[in-house]
Amino acid sequence: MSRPSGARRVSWGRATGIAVARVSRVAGTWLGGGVAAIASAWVTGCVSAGGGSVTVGVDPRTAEEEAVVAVDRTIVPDVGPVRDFDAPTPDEHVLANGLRVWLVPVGRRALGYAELLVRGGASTTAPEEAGLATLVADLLDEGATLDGRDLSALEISVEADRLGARLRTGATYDAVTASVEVVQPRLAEALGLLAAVTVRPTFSAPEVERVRALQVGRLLESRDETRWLAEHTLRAVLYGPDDPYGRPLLGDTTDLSRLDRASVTRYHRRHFTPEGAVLIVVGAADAEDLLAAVERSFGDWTGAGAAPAPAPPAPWARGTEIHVVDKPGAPQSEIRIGAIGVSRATPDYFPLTVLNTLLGGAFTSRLNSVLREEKGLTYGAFSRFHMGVRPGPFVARTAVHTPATAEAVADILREIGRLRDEVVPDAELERAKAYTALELPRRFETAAGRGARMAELAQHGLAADTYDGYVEGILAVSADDVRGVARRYLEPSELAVVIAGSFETIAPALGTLNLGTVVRRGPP
Amino acid sequence: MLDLSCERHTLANGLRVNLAPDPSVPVAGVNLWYGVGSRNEPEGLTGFAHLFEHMMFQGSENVPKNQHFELVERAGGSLNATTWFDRTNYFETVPAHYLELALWLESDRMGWMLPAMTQEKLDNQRDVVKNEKRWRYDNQPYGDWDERLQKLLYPASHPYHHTVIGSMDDIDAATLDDVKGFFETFYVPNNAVLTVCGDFDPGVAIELIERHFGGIPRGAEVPDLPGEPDIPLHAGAAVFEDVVADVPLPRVYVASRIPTFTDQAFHTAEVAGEILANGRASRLYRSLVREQRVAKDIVGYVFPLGTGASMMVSWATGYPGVEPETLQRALLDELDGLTSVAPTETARAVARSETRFFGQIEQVGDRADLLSMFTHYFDDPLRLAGEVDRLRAVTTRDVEGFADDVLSADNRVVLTYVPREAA
Repeated sequence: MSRPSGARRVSWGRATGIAVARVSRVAGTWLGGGVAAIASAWVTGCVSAGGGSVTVGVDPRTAEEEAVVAVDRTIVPDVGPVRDFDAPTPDEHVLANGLRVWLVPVGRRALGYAELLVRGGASTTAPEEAGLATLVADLLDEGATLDGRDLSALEISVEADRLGARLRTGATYDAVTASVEVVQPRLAEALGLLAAVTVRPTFSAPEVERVRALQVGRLLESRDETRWLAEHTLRAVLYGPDDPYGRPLLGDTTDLSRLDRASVTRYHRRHFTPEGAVLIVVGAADAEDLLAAVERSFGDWTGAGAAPAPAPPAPWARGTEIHVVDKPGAPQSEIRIGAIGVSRATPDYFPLTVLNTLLGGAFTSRLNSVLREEKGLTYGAFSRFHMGVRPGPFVARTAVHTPATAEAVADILREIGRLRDEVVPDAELERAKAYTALELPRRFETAAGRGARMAELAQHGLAADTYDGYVEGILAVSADDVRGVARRYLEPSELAVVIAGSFETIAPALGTLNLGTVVRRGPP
Repeated sequence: MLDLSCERHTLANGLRVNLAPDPSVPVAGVNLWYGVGSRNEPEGLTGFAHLFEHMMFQGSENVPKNQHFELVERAGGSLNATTWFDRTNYFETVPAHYLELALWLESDRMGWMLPAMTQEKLDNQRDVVKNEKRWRYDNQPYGDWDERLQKLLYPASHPYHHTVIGSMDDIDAATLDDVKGFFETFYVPNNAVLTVCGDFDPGVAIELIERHFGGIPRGAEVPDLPGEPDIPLHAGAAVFEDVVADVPLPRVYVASRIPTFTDQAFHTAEVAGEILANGRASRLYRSLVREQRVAKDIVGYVFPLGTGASMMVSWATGYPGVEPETLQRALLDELDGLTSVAPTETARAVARSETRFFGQIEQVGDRADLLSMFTHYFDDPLRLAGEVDRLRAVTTRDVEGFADDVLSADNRVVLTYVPREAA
């Protein structure tokens, strides 16, 4: 719907002031202490600008400008070949108690970062304990013993604030992590706080109760959010009820009373051992000084060996239905199409990474180009291979205007099919490879970013210098490689379709896709 | 610590340029601030500045549709743009040796975007923007909170009365003529700041900038803001609005007008906001989440806005069964209580702000954006370097005085969402 022609012309307003062009050149330098030194200033020529009203159709620009040495605008500036990237290589150590420590250099930067990663996460919890890993993670910093003093939950927060430290804890499907981000001079002290909350958390009964109630609150909110519903229903469909990968991290019931202090302390005792963890420290100080700080904080940590890996869950036979979590009247449908994918250690890491960039891992990907830039059905369409310790889900996702739901599902499946059936054109493949290879340096720009990249390598048992071969590995991927992994991992019969949206509105059109019965289901 | 250096230039056509070299990572952040945002939109065209921002990616004279994204991604760069109340920014971070590519792309659309505009592209991006509104707001619980708050906090004649995303009707009403007029009025070099931060040689950069941007003609002076931007800091009343909605939990939002970003009292507002709502030792968290256990979470922050008055917003999400009035009372009590603050609270708030500041300048893209911001608001990019000192200079008395004067009971908007099932 657009305005009929001949309707009001827009006036963007009337200017009343006269511009005074700033024409001074000033150079200034700030050094760490906050002192600004102003170097020489000089004045160049002066250009005045007039005022006046502006209405549509009138070109207000003046033509009187100094001549500049112009470029030929029709020529795209040369981009040159892809350059390699020299990733930082950590110093690896093992403390006497078996804790692996990676020290990652970061140069002269303001912030430092440290992360303790404890293996297991939600993977080691039984079905009836869904949500436990999250509860444990959230309770770590709600009371702990620091330097021999028992600090309450509030006192831990106050201590973190005093240091200006951003203290974070969390659980994923494969790990529980705790991290601190703080200015470099306070990194050693922050390591002490990190050790306190991970090695000696209190888990007091009142805090267990309070944080558990909080988790129930988060569950209640999440089960109302279309994105959350779509994501977790897809997981449930792919992995089934017995596999931790198929259950929400928050839990799958609002009755979490089973998760009591005993189960929290049991989880902590079993998993939080030096041999079950790895510590990443990103700092500018000497390696010796950092290591000494690590020893002071984590050196007296004792415990049994690493917890055993959980037994693999029973295989789950997925049906072929299209699953719809009903959100009556929803203006958009949240679509998730996925399959069980790969683990991080997959030998197909490079071709899959390039495949994903092509399909839905960049703005110029196939999914985004079709669904957003061509058809305007969505604000964005993406895909990702979540690479866990075990094979995680491949997920293609988008939120589309409700009437376009069936069309979007068909489009996504068609684009996946094309990557299986056709060879990617050279120019498109080169662009995807260049993007994937060249975006690597940005992931190492921050201390926290470096820490996270290294934690990921350590978690999956990959070598500390893995990123040295990254660019080379990406550039070596061929069009046949891409088609090969698309065929191996994106089998149409393996793809599940899940939608959170208005069932009544979308079910009829979805039925005409002949992908299976359309069933309505409740939240996971 | 960090060395922050910044060389300033102004081209003959009025384009302000900041060059901030930093060789530590082999990337370059290019950032443009145009001095136009939702505040410039007249009635009937809300959301237009944002829709126009989308159009800026649809090509220009020498860049076909999609090519802007394709070329930057081919170079391994990230790129995006955002529209805000006071400004619209465009930015890309590219491997350092692709600086000229970014400059060429930005200059081509600053100077010559109109030849590439078509009705088809406008209709396509109109659909994209409408889906953005649905995704961000319409399909989210509590999704209309800022629309409601802004309407209550700012009078109808104020530029901040309407949201940046605008209304569906107004988005539908936009025409190609509007695009043309908007571009010619606001997308002119004398209304823009260009900042480059990262691994580059300033001498090479300024030459490239003059060659790519120098040929863009200066535009006329940008018109005044529509409506009445000047409003008193105190609204003079407490306004309450209750909304029965399909939400699972009750939630209470409180907003107050505060001094603008350029006012010297703004840092006091920032520190007050920290003490009130940031972190798990903050007033709201201690009282509502830890002690009274009426809320499952609290959030609060200040907006860095420059027109008339800015705003501070905080909210608390209650547990099921908590009476909305109880949640309201608890939140407002903490606002009242901020008139008495312990020095340790101020010190801790400053320590947190310091870490956050360093996080905000860690990446070249973010640093470039802040340098553009400080040029836009203060005509002084290196003022950024003094921000930590300014925060440290805020005293406990300042915070108490601010709470007493500005966060007073007659300067609040209270918006309460009541779950439909509980109503």
